[in-house]
Amino acid sequence: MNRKKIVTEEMPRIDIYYIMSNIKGIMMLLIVMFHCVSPVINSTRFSYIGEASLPLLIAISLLAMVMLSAVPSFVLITGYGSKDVESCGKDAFGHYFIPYIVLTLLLAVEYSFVNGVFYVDVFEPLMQLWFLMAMYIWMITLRDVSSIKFAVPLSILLSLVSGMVANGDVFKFTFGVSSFFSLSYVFTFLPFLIIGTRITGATLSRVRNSGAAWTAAAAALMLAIAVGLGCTFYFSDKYSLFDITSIRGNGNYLTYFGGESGFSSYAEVNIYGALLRVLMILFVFALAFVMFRFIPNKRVPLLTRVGEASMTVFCLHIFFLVPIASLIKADLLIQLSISIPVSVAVCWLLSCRKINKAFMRAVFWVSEAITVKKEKT
Amino acid sequence: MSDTGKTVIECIKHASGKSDITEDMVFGKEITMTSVSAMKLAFDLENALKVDSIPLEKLYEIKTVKELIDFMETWK
Repeated sequence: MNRKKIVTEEMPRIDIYYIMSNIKGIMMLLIVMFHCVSPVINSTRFSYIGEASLPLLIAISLLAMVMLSAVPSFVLITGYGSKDVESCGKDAFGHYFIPYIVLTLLLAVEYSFVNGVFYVDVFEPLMQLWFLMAMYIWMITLRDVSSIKFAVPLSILLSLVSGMVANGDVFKFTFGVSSFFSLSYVFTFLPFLIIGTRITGATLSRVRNSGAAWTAAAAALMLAIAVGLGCTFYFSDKYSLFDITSIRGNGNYLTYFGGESGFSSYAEVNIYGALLRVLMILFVFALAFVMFRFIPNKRVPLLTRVGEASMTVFCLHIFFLVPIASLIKADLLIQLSISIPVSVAVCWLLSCRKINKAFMRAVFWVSEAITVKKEKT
Repeated sequence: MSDTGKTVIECIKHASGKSDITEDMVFGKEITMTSVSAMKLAFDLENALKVDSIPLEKLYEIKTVKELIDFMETWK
């Protein structure tokens, strides 16, 4: 019997609903988990990590890459769900920009209670609110951007170039792409959005039905990248996984891969930074491939629930993390072990139907309230 | 068309922001609405037809407006 099945038809919508929701759920858990530990990572020097054994560094590199792939994977799924570019652009102001402004003000108020200083700068997004600003920019430009010929290679090129001009330090120029209006993130993750819009149901069907060899190749690629990074951290005196003081003192591996900073904050030569970004892109697609191949196509209690309420969880989890981060001044390993139950609890709470419904209703209500309705003539 | 049918069409127009919508434009094989728009449609339908919470996955199963109208008739 010929076991090979050539899939030519589009995958019906119902066949991917739970897969997409479950993947979004996993990504959201990883994002919340990462945000639980990132304040510690960004504020402490972990010298003992630098002295760790090679297998441990490889394992940590793999874990870090998986966590850092959560946002680009999320952007990839967002791109897939944004095929109706007209509606996306039309709704962007109400769905992303207004929530961004409201949440920025609320977060500034919360900060003022925790830190005693009230400070608002809507041009430099606070914490994870960069995502809403980036979504707004992506959605209002998606129609034009996706109509460009060779949009995919150009977006990859733009992602690489933006890393070179980030932080305003390329070729001695004083300007550049920075976190101003989330531009650094917008360009870094643009390829994932564009490729997401190009993915069809048939493509996903082929991935779902692909053989073990493809999955093994994707897993091997991820492992090879982790081994390469682990070896770099082990053998190099220059590069460290967490050491924020290693290169120019203005960034680290995590902020670089997260799209927050440019190549110069991590690699002294731009070409190495560009190479690392290419590896990041490959890692994300390999991870997305493996996930789409294996994620169950049925309701999974926590994952589906969090995936369905992903926007609510993303927007509101920040408000829990500010006080948590200020309360827990712990060692990385303790913080890591605390982050898992805390992340699950925060995601579980925020994804409950009542909270999700109340938040999304509020977003729609504000959106309706500020939008001028055009009467049909 | 039944009252439910008319209400469903109005809700779709509102949720999608398209005033010139036709039956085959809404739920085709490709995704035509974002998950956020689908949620908006669910809220609109719940409000307009005074029904309980509609699971999102039910909306994703439906491919035409006719199917949605039939579904809402039974959901009521």
